[in-house]
Amino acid sequence: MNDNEKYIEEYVRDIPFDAPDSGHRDELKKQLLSAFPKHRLQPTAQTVGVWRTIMKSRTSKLAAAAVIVLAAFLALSLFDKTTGVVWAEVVKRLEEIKTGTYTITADITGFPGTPEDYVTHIIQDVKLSYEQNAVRIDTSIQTPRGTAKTKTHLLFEDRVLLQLMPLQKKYVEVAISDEHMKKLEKERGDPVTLLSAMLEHDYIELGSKEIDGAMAWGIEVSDPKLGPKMGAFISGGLFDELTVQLWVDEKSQLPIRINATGSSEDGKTSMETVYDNFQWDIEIESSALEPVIPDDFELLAQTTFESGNEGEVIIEVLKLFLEFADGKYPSSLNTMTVANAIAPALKEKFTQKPGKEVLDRLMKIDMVGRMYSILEKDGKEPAYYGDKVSAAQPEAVLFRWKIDDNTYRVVFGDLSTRDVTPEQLAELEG
Amino acid sequence: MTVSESEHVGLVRRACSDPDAFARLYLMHYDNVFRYCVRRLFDSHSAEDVTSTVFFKVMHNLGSFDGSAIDFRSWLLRIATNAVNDHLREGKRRTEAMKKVVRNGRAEFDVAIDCDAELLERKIMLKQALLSLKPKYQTVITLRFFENMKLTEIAACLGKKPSTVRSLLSRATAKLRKKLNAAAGGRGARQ
Repeated sequence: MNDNEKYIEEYVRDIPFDAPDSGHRDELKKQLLSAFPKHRLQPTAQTVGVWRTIMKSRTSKLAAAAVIVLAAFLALSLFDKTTGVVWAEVVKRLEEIKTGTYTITADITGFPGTPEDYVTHIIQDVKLSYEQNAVRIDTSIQTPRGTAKTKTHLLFEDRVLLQLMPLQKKYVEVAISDEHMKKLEKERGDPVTLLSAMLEHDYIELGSKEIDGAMAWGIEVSDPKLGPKMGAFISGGLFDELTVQLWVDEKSQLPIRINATGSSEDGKTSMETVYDNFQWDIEIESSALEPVIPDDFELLAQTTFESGNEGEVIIEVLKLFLEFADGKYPSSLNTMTVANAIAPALKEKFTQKPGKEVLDRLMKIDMVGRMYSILEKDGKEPAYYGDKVSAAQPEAVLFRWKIDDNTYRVVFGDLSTRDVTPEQLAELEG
Repeated sequence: MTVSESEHVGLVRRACSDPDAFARLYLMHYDNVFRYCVRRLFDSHSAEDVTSTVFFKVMHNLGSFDGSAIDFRSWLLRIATNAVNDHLREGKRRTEAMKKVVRNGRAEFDVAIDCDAELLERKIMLKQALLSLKPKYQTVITLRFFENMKLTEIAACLGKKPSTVRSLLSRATAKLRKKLNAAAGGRGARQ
């Protein structure tokens, strides 16, 4: 203990403070208990528009994707030792990184709930701490109805994602199951783990160029399977096509800019994203990462990210199309396409605000791309034929995946299911 | 009210879905949270407000806690720290708190017939000096000197490295001492 500490210790000794008041203690206990069922057991039915919710949920997905894309592409730098940067040095630097902040700006065409050709502009400020196992993303989205803002917190140790909507005074809570978390722990932000996945992809050297006054070296990966194979938290399944360029500052040996473009196969949605303003290993107060949910915020909806039931989650989402879209299924199972495909039907169906049960089902749309990606990554051989099959074809295979070594679960056009052998599957799909 | 480690862990688990268990957990920890808040804010009404905030947050987030009784105390103090800092962060509130310090401090001093006048004067100066520091410095000082926590415990509570806490504490104590000395000098000069 140094002199200053001794001085303060001596100074504060015996200073009196007010004692707790039993009246307040009892009153607060009453308030807590009266609020208890509402907060813990009975999430309130949603009261905002479905589309606003879908948009915000997707934003969290995009934002989290950005974090993971970043981590994955840091790993990319390991690929080649003949370029203008010393990759071993980059790897070493990356492994030592504890915190980072950066800005993401994205222009997205075809965002669900927006007019055709409308470009949704998104700005995100990201703070991530590997030490504290937490990420915070402050998002601003310019929509035709004005600017919406959200605050998203991913707390890996607490196994929860919280998205707060300050203007609406509402929040969404997504729990992450233990099993799913184990999967994520192996994948998230670890350059070495991600490298093994990225090595499977072709890449090209972009050479060097000046960025923000610094010389940077870039590489590019373009592959529709890129997102899923990164195996990241919720990065997979947003788009059918994804191209990412990573630029590393030759002097600092750390990323200086990332450009990402994504699009769906039907061309209705596209994204252009820039990540910049990187700052590495700066102090991030733990309070900045800790979510603060004001008392008057209402829990809008809850859901869980789980492992092992990916196929069933996808079927649940497809049931929405059977129920609300006359059995016309989305052309692919990337999240953007699915959301856009269900949008008109829901808008028509729900002239009034839907109840919580429907909202909880809609939240599964956010997971669908991710779920399909997991099936792919886990070698479950999923296949989807929504571009050819509708509910009017009860004998046609709409979707299938492998449930064990010798069995596939087949989902037909009417969403009935059957477990079949590989030979039977070949016949059905033939 | 004392319970064993395993009982406490079980109580936390039950408190996620059982209001009676939550009430028991609340009563076990209310006093500690209030004391921490009042030592940070120097005002019992504000401390009660923040204590309320803390326990509502605990209720919201209890499901995510998975640790020992010691971890729970750290977790609770971390929530309390964030709540207090949020309370202070708004400049307006901070200014109000400072004004209240002076107002209440003088009132306290005036009616303190049975108390040690020197102690009360020290308290007033401590309030003014502490509240004029940044919340992060206030936090480490309170945890170290009022909660009597070790560096490693403070680090666990704040989610920082012990070396970071060490450095924060060093800066905080230097700043606080300087302010206390200045305040004492000022009073001496006025008397």
